[in-house]
Amino acid sequence: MVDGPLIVQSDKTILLEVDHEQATEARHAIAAFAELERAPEHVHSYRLTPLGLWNARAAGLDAEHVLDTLLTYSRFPVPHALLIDIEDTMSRYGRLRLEKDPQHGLVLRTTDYPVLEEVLHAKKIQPLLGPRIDGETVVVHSSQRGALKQLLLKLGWPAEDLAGYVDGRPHPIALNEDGWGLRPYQQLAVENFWSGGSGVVVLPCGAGKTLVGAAAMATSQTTTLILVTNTVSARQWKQELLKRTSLTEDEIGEYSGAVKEIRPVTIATYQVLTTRRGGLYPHLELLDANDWGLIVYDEVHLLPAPIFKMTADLQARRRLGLTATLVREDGREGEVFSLIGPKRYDAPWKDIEAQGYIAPADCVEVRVDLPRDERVAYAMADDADKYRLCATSDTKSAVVEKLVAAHRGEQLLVIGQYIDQLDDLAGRLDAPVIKGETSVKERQRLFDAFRTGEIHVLVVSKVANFSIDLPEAAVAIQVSGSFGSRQEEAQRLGRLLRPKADGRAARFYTVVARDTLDQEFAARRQRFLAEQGYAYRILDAAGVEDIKPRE
Amino acid sequence: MDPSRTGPVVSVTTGILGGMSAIRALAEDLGGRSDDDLRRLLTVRPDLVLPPVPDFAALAARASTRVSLQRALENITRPQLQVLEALTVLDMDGPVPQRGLERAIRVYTVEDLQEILHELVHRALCTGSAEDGFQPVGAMAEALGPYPAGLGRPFGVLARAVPRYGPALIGAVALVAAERAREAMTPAAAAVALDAVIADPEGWARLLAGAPTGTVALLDRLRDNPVGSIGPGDDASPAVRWLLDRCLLASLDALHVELPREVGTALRGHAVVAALATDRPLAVEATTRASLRDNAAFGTMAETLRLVTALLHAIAATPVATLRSGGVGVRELRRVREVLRAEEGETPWLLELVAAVGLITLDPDDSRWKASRLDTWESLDRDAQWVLLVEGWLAVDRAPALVGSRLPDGASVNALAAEASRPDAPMVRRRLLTVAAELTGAGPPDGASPVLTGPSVLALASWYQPRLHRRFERLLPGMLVEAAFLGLTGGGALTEAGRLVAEDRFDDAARSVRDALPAPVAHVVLQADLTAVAPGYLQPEVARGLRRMATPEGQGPATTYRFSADSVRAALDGGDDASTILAFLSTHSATQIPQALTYLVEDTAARYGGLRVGRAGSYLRTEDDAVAATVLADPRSLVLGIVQVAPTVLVSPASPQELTALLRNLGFTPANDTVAGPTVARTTVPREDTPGAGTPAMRLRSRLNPWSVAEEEISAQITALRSATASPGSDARAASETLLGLETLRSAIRSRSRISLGTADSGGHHERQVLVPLSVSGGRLRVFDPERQVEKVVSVHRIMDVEILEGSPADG
Repeated sequence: MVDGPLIVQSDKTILLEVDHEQATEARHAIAAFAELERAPEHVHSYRLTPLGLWNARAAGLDAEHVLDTLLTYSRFPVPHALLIDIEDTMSRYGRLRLEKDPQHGLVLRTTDYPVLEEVLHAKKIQPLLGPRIDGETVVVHSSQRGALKQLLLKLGWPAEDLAGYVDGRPHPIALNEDGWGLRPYQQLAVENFWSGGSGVVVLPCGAGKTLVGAAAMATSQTTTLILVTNTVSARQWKQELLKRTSLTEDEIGEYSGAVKEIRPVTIATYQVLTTRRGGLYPHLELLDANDWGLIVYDEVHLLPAPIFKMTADLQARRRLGLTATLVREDGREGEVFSLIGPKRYDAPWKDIEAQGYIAPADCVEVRVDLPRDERVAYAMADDADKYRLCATSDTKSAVVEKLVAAHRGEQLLVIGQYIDQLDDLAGRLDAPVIKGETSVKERQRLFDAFRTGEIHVLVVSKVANFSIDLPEAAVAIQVSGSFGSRQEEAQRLGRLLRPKADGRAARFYTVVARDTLDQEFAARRQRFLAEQGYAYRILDAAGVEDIKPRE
Repeated sequence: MDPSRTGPVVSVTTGILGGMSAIRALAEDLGGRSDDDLRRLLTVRPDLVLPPVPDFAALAARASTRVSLQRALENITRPQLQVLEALTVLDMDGPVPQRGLERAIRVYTVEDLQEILHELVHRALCTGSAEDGFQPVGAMAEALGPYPAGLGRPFGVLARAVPRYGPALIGAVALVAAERAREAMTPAAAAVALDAVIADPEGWARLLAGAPTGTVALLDRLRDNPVGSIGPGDDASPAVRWLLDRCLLASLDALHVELPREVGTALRGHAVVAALATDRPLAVEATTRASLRDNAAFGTMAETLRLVTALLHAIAATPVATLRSGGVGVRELRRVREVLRAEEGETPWLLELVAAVGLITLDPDDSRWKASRLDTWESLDRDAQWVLLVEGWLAVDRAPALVGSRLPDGASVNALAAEASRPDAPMVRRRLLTVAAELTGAGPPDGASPVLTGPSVLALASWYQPRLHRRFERLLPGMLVEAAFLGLTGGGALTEAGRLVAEDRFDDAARSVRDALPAPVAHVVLQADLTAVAPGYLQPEVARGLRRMATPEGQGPATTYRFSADSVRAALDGGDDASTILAFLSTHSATQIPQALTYLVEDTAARYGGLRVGRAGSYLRTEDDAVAATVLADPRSLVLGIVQVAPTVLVSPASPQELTALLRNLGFTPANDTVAGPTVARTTVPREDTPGAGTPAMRLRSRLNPWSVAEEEISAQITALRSATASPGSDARAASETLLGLETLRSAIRSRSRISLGTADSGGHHERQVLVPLSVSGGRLRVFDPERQVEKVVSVHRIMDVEILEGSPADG
């Protein structure tokens, strides 16, 4: 047995000892087929899943390579059953292929006759198929390409889609690289995506996913539809594209609740597409409004279910998914795999951080003691009110004031869940609030002011969670949050992770009431953050006095 | 002998028809053997001297019993069995000359045959020599069963046993050999006529040439399994009809047919044995690399050891309950499985394994399995643990793989239930290992290890012990899986450790395991996500300490221990405090204790004990702490053990009534609280299970072969036999007479002779009758009374003597 950095467990997890001299080597080797699950400071854990293994197959890795990697770097014997399972799982990918036949159009072809038989006997699949041409080939209704892939994945026989794509209407797009250039990993991500055809690129928040999208468009040179989570995000895409590419204002359209423009490059929100009126999706026609050559999905992990359904019909168009994580809280990773495509590129954010492209973050949990009367009120409260009571304690406001004072002069966000609390804090800190009712125009104005340094402190509700760009926020203080969602946490940290001009570490405070539900949720947050590899400290409220404004 | 005499010509004491009694001949043969030969015989057939026998006659008699023969038959190889079966098939009237035997076997070499015959004689399974011919001993035909060599019964026997077959034979002659048909033929004569055609290769070929299609296929199907079933309506098919008409098949009932022996022999090319299977089936389908094999084996081995430890801890915490019907029920298994986070099917096996080693024992008081030797187990090194498991597995007379299989009544076999008990399991496991070692040894020389598949192991095991084929078929596949769990095989190939175990070299096997298993680690890695990762097998005492304060997670060589407020509280309950917990962690951590973990431990400890619980029989509360002080100050209050728990609260273990009475005596005027006090459930303190406390380190080792006879015992036996031969005691003679009598009976049954049978009834009255014996089994003799033309049954123990009346075949 070699003294390797990996420990392969029989529950399909792989532990990686970070301080081992071969750790980096091993990390790169297994990243191709295992999903990083937890990355605390010393021992990282990866998980082997069928999707991960199929992603690896799609990237051209074979089972032997995977087994070899595990055996090479493993410190202990690798569970034999696991090896067999890996081999078996990987061999299932690509036994069925979707191809374009010059005579019959879209066909499903196999190298393994019994597999096709098994699939043909599945009740749900039969209606999607046309006549059988020979033992190994069967015609597929071209409209059912996506649905078929979905069902095949469910059956455990993921099909390799080699049927190609429509070219789309050509439209000249070029990157406008003056004073900046694509980073190497962005370049690689685009290349991998393009050679794979369709798929997902996984990059951490702040690592420049928008640029990957822009570069993909410049490679495609076609009309492009970009789907984003909300209007603010749509505007930012537009600004970024104007700045970084040869596209002009006239070529980029916005298709949202407010404006309905269809241009060669159109940015639409998920929300407008999924609006239903009388059981119909009135804006569905957008998808056919142009002969799109590329469709970009921003934040794939948030893609709403109806979009999947629509995407199933778009299988002939190139699709690029962008996301920070493949983990979906609703467990629909399989649909991302079958409908958008396999993972084409994944950079562990630790690597990117090490290269200096994103700022490291420093997480601090500040524990406040509730005064006696609040503790009694908390103890007697109904379960439904408990969290609100402890999360909005007045003691927190005092701590927040001290923290803000300690970081005077730095760009600082205060994030919270309860509007009353936020309004109260805004009053005490003399800072503007952005909440649900704030108009888009006002939001833009405040963000701009924050960006230019006109305003130092901004109080935001959860509306700020998604796709806003606050490059100069160096400190965030979270006073209350919804119930420990991993998604939310990643987003909030993402706000701070954009590279700072001076390369300082971002600071992320969470103010927590001791011995309450608040602390329980904080424990979950702590686990998540620590598992993501962030430094995590706990401070008593009294210790806040000692925080010095940073130089 | 005078053939004209019709009176009793043979008696028990003068030998049997056609020469000396076979038992007597065997006794003489045995007496003439050298000590070494005897020693070898007794080593291969230890049951002959368990218990010891007084003389050679008794030894020969025991060697001829059905039970002993069956046991001996289980241990002979396929070619030996083939020869013995051929002998039995041919042996209808006396010794079979070697020439005759050679004719009955189509493909063979004389050397092989001679060697086999020599071995059979040596094992006292047949007597005789190349000159005099060979004869199977005693109840061999019975021991081999009704279909020796996979052949059906002869025409003659079928004619007597199967209704309407006799008359049908006569009819068949007209169809098969019209030229031999006579009027008023007996079935016996018809059988001879049919046999004459079938035994002639040309006649047989001619006969078959006229058969409808499908006949040959049907015959081939029955060639080695003479009894077959036909579906309802199948007898209408031309092939079946054709065969039945010609009596080439005997219809046993509506659904079953039997292929007569003569036809079976003809199908085998007019021989009993088509080819002598002297070559062992050593072929394997695939091989694997040694690195893969060891990876799999040591991975599984470590995992099994880990799971056994986890299982013992789980059982120590909550014993495993049994069902009233015996065994562990499905629900209980599921509970254990969830605790272990083991795979489906692993749990029963692990339970069986730890029970086999004696690590858990059934408490007869509450019918629950309890972990009895956890401490001893944990104190052992992993290689010693492994040897313990292997030895226990080899010795246990149970087949864990049968758990979950269905019984004939549809119920499934429960774990640790009596239904999975198989007394021959240790023998089968031994065979599995020797066969595995042999297959591995015969593998390719380039170092690749042969993959032992179920079929290849079964084939070789069945070559060595063909009579056990069915048992092997049922038990071997499961045992092969179990061997893999123990790391005796890896990736299907026998490991070095497995080979050493097969050679009984347990210490060497332990050494090879010790070298291969990584050394235990003594430290963990503490992380800010409140986990401790043990990067490998953790020293038991460190693991025990961590389990007190954290919850283990994950499955595999490394264990992750997760700290939470609950787990830390459990440690506090166990008597630790924050400082001892942190001290333990800093001693055993390779890294600094993360700040978050320190906070968790200290915060939990700070909150701990905010409420305190104790036990009291009664309490005393007052508004005035001065009153409490007065009560406490009175020396008489000591009697009731009054203690102050708060300034205004006192408690006493005494009952409220006693306390009230005392206080009244002291001059107070206590009032009783009307609210119902706490009900105190008198829980019984769990009995400490500390076997092994005080006893020296237990020897869990299991005795591997209960059937073995020590060398000295054999020597003592031989000495006894020799001296017995010098002065034969009459008692010993009597002991073997029963067998001689039975032998006489069997011989009469075979030759269908009439006997004169002396019996005693329950009143002690003697009776003598002339009867035709039909069969003897299970202590009962079935006879035909020719006078009254009825069949009846006589208990063997009522028989006084037997004499064969010669010259009067029963059916003539």
